[in-house]
Amino acid sequence: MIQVQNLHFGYRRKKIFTGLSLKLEAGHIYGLLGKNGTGKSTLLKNMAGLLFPQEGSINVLGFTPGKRQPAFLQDIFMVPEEFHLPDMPIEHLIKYNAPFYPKFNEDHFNRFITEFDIPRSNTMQQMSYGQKKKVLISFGLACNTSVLLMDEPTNGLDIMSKSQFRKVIAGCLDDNKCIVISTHQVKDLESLIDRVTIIDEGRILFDQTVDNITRKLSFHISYDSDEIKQALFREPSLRGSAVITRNTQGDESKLDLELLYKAIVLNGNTIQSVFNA
Amino acid sequence: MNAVFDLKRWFLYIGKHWNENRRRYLLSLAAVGGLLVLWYSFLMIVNPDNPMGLRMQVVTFYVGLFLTGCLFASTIFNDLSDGPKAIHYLLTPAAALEKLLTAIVFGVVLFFISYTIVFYAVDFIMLKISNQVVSTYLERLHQAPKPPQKLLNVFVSDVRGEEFLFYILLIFFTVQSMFLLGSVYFVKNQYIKTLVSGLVVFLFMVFYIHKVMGSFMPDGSFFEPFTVYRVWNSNKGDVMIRLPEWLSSILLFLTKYTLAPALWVVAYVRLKEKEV
Repeated sequence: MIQVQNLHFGYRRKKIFTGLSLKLEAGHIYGLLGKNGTGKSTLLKNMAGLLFPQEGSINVLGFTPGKRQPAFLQDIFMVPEEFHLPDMPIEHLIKYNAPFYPKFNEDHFNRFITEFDIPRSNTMQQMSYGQKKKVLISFGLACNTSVLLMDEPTNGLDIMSKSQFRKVIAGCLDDNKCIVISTHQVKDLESLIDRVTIIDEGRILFDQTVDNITRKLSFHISYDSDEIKQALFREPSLRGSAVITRNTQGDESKLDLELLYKAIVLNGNTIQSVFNA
Repeated sequence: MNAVFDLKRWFLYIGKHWNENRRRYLLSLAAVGGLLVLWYSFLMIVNPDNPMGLRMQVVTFYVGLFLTGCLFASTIFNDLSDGPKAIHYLLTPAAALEKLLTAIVFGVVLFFISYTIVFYAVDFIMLKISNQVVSTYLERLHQAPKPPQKLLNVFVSDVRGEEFLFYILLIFFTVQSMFLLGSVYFVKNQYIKTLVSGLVVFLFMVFYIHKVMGSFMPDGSFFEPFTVYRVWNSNKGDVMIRLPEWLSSILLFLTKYTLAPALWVVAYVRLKEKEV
């Protein structure tokens, strides 16, 4: 569905990607994680056709994104971190924007708006940043595009809205859709994504499915000093230590995305060795 | 579905564009009307004897057209200078040609029609007031009343024939298209940057024609643009060198009718390669 091959991209003074390759399939929610400035947004913009690769190629749904052909644009939707919604009532937003997306479903949109508790009578200018973002997310989901790119979608959302966001996104995925969510707020996506891709300094540091991660790694709190010492990664906490160990028993443990992220960034080789074995 | 142009999709895009921008457009037109009222009021104060002579109405129409038309055209792709708006604009599922044509329809065609309507609406009302002001003024000075000033046809010149104003209009559309290109080409301060770039290009052309090309030509000057070159010869008197009729006709046609569309084509290419 999305193929990035040998992507080279940089801004005037900073090289971001030097040969990045990535393949994203339909039916998954990908979590694109990384520190600020590592190129997450740049990668999404390249996929959306807002930036053009300097070398290498990107193929999304059989299209070259940079050509921005209408058939491509109507099957992809991007929720940028900083977004614009024209100042108009929700009804007008639907009336003048939805016809561009052939798979737009108004019932879905109304359901999302209700779930997000958005007052329908307000114009965009009368809404808070979080409310506007929820309108945009609802619109993007209702477009039912094959590719949905979301850049820091939970920024600006309150605690309740983040939980609603996870619920709504989880209910939207089907076998024909590919959802890519870029964030540095890893906790927000923990129960949502089914594949973790960590980018650092323009390269893929880690790329595994959540199933594979939880099958091979165990995330838990340990009080056992031997276990803590032998752990692949450990972090002291108020009660015991949060550790990542090899999952030798085949127990199912809950993924601690924040801990995994820290482990990859600080001790990536040790974690990778588990998957390479 | 056509990837380059689809009529149905274009109409959809025009509807969306109008709905999102109509407040700004209508306010701009109201501002133009307000400025014209202020200008004519100023003329009535400083020149109560003949504030709205025919010549003054023509000058007001064309100066206003150039100033506001170019300013308006330089804002037509304003969205591209603002990151979030640029993303919204570029990712809207319409072809670049449809987006450019929409900009031309609103920024060039509808602007010209709307400006003319606003000008005539203001001109008509202010002319009534002006005639009243003139008659009161003359009455106070015990002078004979003048015939009331008439509404002017700004597209017909009283002095140099219809051709003159026609050329002014062609120049306007070319200059306005340059500002339209500037609005998609430059990211910030489009009006100033286009103005400066336009002047630089103009000065370069003048320099090129007079200094570079002039150095290859015999001693003389262009007598009529594109058609006649006058060679100064002290023995035989001035000699006119005339280009073949067909060549000068082609050159004249290209200069008159293709400059603005050529600038639109450049704007189209620039729009397609825009990154944000």
